[in-house]
Amino acid sequence: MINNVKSDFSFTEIEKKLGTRSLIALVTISVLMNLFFIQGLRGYFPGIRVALFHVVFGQDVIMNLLVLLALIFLILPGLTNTICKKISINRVMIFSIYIVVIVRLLWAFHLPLNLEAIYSGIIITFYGIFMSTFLTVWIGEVDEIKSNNKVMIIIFSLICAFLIDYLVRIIGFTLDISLVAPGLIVDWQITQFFWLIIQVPLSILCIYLTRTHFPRFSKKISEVSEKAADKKNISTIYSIIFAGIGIFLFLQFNLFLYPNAIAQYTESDYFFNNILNIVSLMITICAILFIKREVISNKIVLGIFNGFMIISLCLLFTLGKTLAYLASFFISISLIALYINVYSLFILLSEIDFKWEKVKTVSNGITIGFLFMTLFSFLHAFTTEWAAILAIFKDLGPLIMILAGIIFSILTIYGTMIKLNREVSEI
Amino acid sequence: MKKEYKIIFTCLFFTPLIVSFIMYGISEIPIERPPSKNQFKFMTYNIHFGQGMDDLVNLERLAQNILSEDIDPDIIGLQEVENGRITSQGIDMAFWLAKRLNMYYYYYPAINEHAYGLALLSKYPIKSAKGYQIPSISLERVLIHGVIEINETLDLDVFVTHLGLLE
Repeated sequence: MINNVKSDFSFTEIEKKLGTRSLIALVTISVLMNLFFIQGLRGYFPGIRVALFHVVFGQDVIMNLLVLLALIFLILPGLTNTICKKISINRVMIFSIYIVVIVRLLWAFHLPLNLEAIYSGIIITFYGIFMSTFLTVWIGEVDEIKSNNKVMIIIFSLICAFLIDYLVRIIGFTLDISLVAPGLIVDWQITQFFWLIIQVPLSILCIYLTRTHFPRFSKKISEVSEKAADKKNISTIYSIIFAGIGIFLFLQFNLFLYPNAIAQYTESDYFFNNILNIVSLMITICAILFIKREVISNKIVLGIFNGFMIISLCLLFTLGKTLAYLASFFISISLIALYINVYSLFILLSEIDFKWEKVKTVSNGITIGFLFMTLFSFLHAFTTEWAAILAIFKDLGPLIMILAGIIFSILTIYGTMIKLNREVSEI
Repeated sequence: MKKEYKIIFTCLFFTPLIVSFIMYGISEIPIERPPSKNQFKFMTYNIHFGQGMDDLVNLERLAQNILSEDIDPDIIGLQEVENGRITSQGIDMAFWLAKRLNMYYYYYPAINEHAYGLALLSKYPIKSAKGYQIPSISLERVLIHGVIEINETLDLDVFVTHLGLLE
């Protein structure tokens, strides 16, 4: 029974094929890139919001419209393929790592110019470029490692980055200590440099590991005939996968990632929620590493998990205060569903016989994901803090969240069903 | 995989959980009660979602502003306080400022549970507090009524609100 459920994934096997140092380098860079992306997104939206605020209230309109142009950073990953036509894909990948790391370091210096929205925008863009190229190169690389196991490393890194993010925020009592800006009193202008002490070695480590271990990806990438692949089906699956990931990011950054927000909705204790969320993340990591993917991304299991997530969301927004700790508990358990969905979407990437040589499809997918995230974030903003501007949207904030949850569930389950149908037809 | 790597990985894996428990312990350290007195300093502060004139979210700067020697208030009413929103880095601003200033706090949101809220911060224990919706022609407006226990014989009723500018 246990053998039927137990995953065949093993770090030791990958280590044998890659080498210990290469594996550590791969995971470290992947985790750090995800962490910088999370911090980038967190810094990005306040900048955009305040620019919109100034445009609406007529303060320095032109200047703030320029800041709003920072929204373009979300679309730029779509240019990855064009860049890859001029420069080799491996170089683009390595270059994007350097850019993210250096810009994150510059941001940590808190230079006098107010460039937060620009720094974070560049980080988001080059993270998108990195993911487009890294996914293509890493999964498409011809070696003995199964593509599913490669995807597991990617999703493992993503969840680890979120786990580190929880750590960073709990130390700062809900404040991301990596984003602490300069203080007011000169004698106390030291808190801003706390993260710099950590960022400098992290950046050096990242650059060193990239220089020493990433050129290995210049090996051959698997070639799949364009004719063999079903173009229409592939673009549908890609759209499903990345739209799903975009909604995942929206749900994360507007509710699930913040135990304090959950505590607010349920009038429960912040620390209780924080501990529950971290435990949920740890359970997810264990589930992904130790349980067979067929069991986790099974249609029925996904249906149960997603049904539970939607019920939890409804419970939170309707009876959150009455069933305080129960609602908190349900939402924290739903975090597992959220990550399992992302895991299933990434597994879809690796399982279907599509063309890994196509950076274009992945980069377009990432852009679609960012656009979905932004669309829902704006919808949420207009139904909450800007609800007074358009009265029709008033009090619809929770509905947007539930709607996002439902769409996310449908995308994941539908994606899995497409995969199942293909498997059946192949048999 | 080498045993040492496994140990390092396991330690790193459990670090966020352990630190969460430690921070929980730290947050439970009782707040030192200031001596009872007859004169109090009140402060009302619209923190504009933590964003200053330079448009940066900067709670540390707000805290330093409040802590400066000339002011050092005993009781603070805060306006435009947010909690867990993507547009303000997801911070629970009332909670953070209360921890930073070593004060008791009560938070009441105005819109959809976590935006445009009010907060009452006090060096003295907040015996009870409640938030109310008040009539408004535009944005939702709320009011906090808090009862602050100065000493065993003296309670102070404090009200915090945020009114609009429309005529």
